[in-house]
Amino acid sequence: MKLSLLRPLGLSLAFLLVLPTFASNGDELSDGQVPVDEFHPQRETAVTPAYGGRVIMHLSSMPESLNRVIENSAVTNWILYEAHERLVMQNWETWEIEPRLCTHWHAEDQLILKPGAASKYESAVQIGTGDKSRWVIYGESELQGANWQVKPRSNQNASLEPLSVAAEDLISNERATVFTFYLKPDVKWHDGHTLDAADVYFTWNLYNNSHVDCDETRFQFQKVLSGEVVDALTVRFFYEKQYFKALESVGDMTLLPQHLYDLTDPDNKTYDPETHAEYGAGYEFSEEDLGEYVNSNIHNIEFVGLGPYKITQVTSQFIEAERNLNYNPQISDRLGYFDTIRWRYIGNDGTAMEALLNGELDYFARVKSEDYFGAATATEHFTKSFYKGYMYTGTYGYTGWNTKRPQLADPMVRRALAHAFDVETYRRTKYKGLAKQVTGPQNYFGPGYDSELKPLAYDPDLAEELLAEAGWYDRDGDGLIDKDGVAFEITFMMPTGNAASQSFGLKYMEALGKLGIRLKMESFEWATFLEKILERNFDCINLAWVPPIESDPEQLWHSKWDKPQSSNHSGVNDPEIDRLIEAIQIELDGAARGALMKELHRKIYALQPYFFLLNSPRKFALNKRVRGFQGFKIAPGYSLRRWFLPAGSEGTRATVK
Amino acid sequence: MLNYIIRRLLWMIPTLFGITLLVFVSIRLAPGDPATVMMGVGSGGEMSEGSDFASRIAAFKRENGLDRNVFVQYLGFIGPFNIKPDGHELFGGSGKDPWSGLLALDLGTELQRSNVPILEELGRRLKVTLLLSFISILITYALSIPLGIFSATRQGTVLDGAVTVVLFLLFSIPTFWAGLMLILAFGQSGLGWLPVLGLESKDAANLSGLEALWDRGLHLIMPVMVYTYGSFAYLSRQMRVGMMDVIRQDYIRTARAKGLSERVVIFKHALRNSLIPVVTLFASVLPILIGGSVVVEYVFDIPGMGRYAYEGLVQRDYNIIMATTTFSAFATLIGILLSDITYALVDPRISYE
Repeated sequence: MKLSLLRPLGLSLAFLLVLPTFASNGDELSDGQVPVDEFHPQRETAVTPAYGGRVIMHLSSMPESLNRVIENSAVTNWILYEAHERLVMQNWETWEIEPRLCTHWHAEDQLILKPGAASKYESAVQIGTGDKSRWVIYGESELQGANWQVKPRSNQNASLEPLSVAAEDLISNERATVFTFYLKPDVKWHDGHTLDAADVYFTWNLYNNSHVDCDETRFQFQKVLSGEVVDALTVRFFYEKQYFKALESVGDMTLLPQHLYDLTDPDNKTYDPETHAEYGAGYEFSEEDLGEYVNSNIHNIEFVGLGPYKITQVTSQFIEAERNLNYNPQISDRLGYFDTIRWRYIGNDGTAMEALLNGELDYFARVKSEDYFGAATATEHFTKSFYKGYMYTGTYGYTGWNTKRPQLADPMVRRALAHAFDVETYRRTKYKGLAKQVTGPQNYFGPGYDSELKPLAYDPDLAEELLAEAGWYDRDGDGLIDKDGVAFEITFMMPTGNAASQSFGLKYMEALGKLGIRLKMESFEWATFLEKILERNFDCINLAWVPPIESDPEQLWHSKWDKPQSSNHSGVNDPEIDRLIEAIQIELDGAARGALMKELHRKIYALQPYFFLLNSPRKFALNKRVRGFQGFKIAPGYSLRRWFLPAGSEGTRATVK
Repeated sequence: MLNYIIRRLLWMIPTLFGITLLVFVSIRLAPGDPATVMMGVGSGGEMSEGSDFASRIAAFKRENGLDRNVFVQYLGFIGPFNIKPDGHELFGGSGKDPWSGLLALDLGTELQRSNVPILEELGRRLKVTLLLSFISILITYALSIPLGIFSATRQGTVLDGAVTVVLFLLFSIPTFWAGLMLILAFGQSGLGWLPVLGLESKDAANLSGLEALWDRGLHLIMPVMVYTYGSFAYLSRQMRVGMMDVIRQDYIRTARAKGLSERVVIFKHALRNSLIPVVTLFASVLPILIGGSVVVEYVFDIPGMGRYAYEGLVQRDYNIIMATTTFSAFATLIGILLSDITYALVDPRISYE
């Protein structure tokens, strides 16, 4: 899930457009078809894709590193979509997890044996270390009477023959927690080395090294108890317990080439055989040495990956990648059409828009509403060379309440605050109807979003009643409602320079004023704003989340994160919500999990820790010569490998080479 | 004179440390810290899924010595002891990299991009800013001296009045506004005559020598204009005042009484003395130009020293902030010293003995 500034979305009232509209949530993607060139003025004209040319993308921030093990940033992730590959990948259109670097994988159940029971089963294996050590049998399991029938599925499973395990010998059966990946052969790193299972194991093991700067994501991989290299092309991981995103977290791991990151690998240029000879075969560098080597490795910038593009230039202004002619098409038939991709860093959005108009960028996805609906994109120069469009990625804006504040602790009050504002009119006037009002935190287009729920309607009378019922009414005649001698005054906190927050805040201030609530507005630059949120030093904040199609709700809503420095900013602490989250995490059946997610959605809707606002689209401008654009629900919302220049364009050809 | 210069140089040391202490305390008193920013800035204000904020923030602080008390941190900046985990054993480090800080001439690496040594980056950025500053100073002096003379010799005329109004207007225009207006006027949104971004085109690497020079020249026009107009307006007025002071002197009256032409009076007798205030301003203009580059470099997306300072501030990168402010303070102190020395050189009446 990504937290972003609510982008300015002010629209020009003087410029009315008839805009294409999407159907209700989810249904436009149900058949896996995403329209191509939907907004291109010549979309009806058939074009033949050609190879060659260059595309220049906009970067709003420059990544510190291209090694996603140590930098978990969105921009790094987006660049690595082209420069790297993953074990598995979510299909952009169907959202199914599909093999990428592996031919396939097996997910087996893990039968955890009680102490002493291991001796009864020859095929029991010990995994994990220390407190987390356990004896297990793994395979496809089915309960038949008092016994589990276990059939091994993966290669070289310790239980080579089907066997029966007495249920009474088990502590638990953790379903689908042993993953065996079978790598595709002849997959080469950009420097020509062959990818093997040791690379995958090595990368995972880095997360166990406390000196590697991966603290931000380490906890995800600590759910994996153990890993093993089965053979050169097979690697296996044992999860601690059942988890619906288990496959995604290991499968999405950013693999690193062991020969470039491991000091003890003889293929590493820094490998010193004399040192190793002197200390003998048992010689190893310390974890600290390895951690430092990984953190400061030159290849964190001069990245060596597995994708169809390899990084060739990194400057303070741009990152450039060129076609990798050694890319194995067995990995994916999406080779990419362009020969060169450049990601150009321009921190200021106004300057970036000018850069686009000046031909320094081909694609810019942070077009301000006033530009999108205004003169900037209506000039002859713009319409001659560019076109504009938008896409939805599940982003939703919200006003988050600090439920630890006495005025905001009562859900009835928070519901009243939602009834007090006319979101529908705001959506139609301010956003020209382009945005959709959301009612909960799940991705608007995802399976966990309950579209049956309707937004709380604008009803100031009901809002007043609810407030009075909660004990808030004007006792002293000063125009402000009060309770226990305290007037209802709260501060609306937003990032400096955010026009959308400013605009909404002013309208909201007016609406709440009519109910006798004083809303003060305060803005802070990003660093201070973020610090205040993490310290929970606010009454209400205006922000936006960008949830993935299906997210783990733990960090936002579980009571274990009801503390400062966490994402549960609102301080939700509800046993029923905790129960639902824990049930969701271990539910492997998609439909059943969707039902649980919807139940959680309804529960959060009832509690109203956020005033859920609008799912607004990302508005982009793209050079007309670039074809093949498709807007996806997965961030960043597009796939560069599908873009191309039409045949006949300068510098293009019919074949890859 | 030499004694004076040495004395002034020695006084610069405590002054510089005083400035660094003030900046160090101010930036730490400001809300927000680099560890928090790191969670958001790296992705353009977006934080990724599954982030363990607390662990990452704690690790970041530990790695960069930000978990130490503030006095130890300042000592770390001054040096020569490295206070980080791999630093000097005296400060609990592993001893692997014991020396760093100002005294060790090692300003460390950026906090957000730990692979970028600040001194190297500062050098790269400074080259860009100095190029702009140098061109700007040349143009400023080339224009402001004749204009100042022109105004002073036509004092009270309509032309002088018009020049005064225009210069005041120029002086009053905020640079960020001027930059944006120029972009709108001459970029593709307007006439489409000039490039608006950076110092070279996207394909500059493929250009031949002359083409590259032309390309660079085109890119410099607007930033230099914005860089120049403020100091040009200011220096023109200084020149006008200087010249007016001089032409009222008795020796100028004498020269005119001798029947010398006005041209000879102005250019031979008045000009040299009227240049004194303007020439001495040269030394103090340089630090102003470096400071003033923040806006120009931000608006035109030029990777110079000013933008570096701004980025450091936004990202609360203490190392960048300390490095850029220390450098600016040093440049200012040197500028003031040069200014004083120039006074003595161009005006024999001034002596520091």
